[in-house]
Amino acid sequence: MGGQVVTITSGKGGVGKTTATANLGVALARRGQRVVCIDADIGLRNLDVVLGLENRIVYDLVDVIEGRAKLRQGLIKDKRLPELHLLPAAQKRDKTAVTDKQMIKLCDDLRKEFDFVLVDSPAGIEGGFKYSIAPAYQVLIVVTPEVSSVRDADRVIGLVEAQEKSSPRLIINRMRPSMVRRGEMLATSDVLEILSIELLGIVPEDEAIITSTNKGHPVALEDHSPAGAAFTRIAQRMMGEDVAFQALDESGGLLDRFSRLFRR
Amino acid sequence: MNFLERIFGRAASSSDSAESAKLRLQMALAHDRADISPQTLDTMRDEIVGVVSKYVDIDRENVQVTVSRIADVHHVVTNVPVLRTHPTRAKPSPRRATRPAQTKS
Ligand SMILES: Nc1ncnc2c1ncn2[C@@H]1O[C@H](COP(=O)(O)OP(=O)(O)OP(=O)(O)O)[C@@H](O)[C@H]1O
Ligand SMILES: [Mg+2]
Repeated sequence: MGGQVVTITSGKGGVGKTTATANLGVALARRGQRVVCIDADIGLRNLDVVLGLENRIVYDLVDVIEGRAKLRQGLIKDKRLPELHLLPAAQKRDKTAVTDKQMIKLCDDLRKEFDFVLVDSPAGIEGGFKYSIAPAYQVLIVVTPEVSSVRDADRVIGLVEAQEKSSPRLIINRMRPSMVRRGEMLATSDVLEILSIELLGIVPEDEAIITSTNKGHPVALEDHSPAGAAFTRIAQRMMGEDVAFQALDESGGLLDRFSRLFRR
Repeated sequence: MNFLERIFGRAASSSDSAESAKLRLQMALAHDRADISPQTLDTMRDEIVGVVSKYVDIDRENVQVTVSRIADVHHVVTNVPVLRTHPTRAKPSPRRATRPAQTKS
């Protein structure tokens, strides 16, 4: 037995991987799951500030991998949520500092103590992406409803499916229902039709994401924001609960049809 | 107006930009996934239109040829909306057939 290693990736940069990792970590921990979030974006550390834990870093991922720190010493425990932990990225190194094998070993060790090991992958399809998906049991693809993001996601899905892993699942981020209604943004059904993978959840565009990131206080710590509620529903689905999809984009019943189609 | 012109013509108008995003993505992904160029896709589309319209009246403007990934296999998927079956070549049908004919290869 042991926990699940879940890698959050996207191909294209800036679509919300770090935001999703932080909020899913928070939402899972709030539901009593033991969670560790690993910032795998070596050289471009960010998960620490999004979680508001940047002042507590002593050791990092590379210190642990190279044996300068014990695993326990590298983990930062979140004081707001006793079940939530962060293993921060090294800031002064680059992606060549870690190999696929080392990440697999590290995640195997963490799996013994945690229910969820969430890996925040760097953008791209090079080394950093490869060592991030190497240990994954499940891969979550974050996409925004835009041409470039969907195209890059398709490439990443192809790369993940070429490996022997369970098929990746999709998070559509920054959805704007009013633009979809005006025919100015790809609807959920369009994105699912093009990518043909299972939908895990839809997160709306939400100003609360920006203000919460300003403060290092992830939206999922509370229930009142639309994005926070969306991340909580995704966390519940990750825990195996059957949570109905909300018709965010009003695509005339298609959304329901697709979510049923891709439900296993 | 051919398929490519329709797509890029649509891209210029912002009113249904989601539709042109979808069409442009489908073209780009046909290329990314199966190495089929937009020109080849366009030629394939014209030939399919030629063959199918010998037997049934079709809505030529809305014929779609895309490449989908189903499990690990790429499929060339053609959607041909049928207006009505051709009276002289096919058995007459009491109702107007409006559902798109779908062929997978
Ligand atoms: N649902 C949302 N609503 C509003 N803003 C959002 C939303 N999701 C993400 N953002 C904003 O988008 C920006 C990029 O997000 P984030 O850093 O999570 O992306 P990323 O995929 O991790 O980027 P990178 O590829 O650089 O690692 C941030 O400024 C974040 O606040
Ligand atoms: Mg990031």
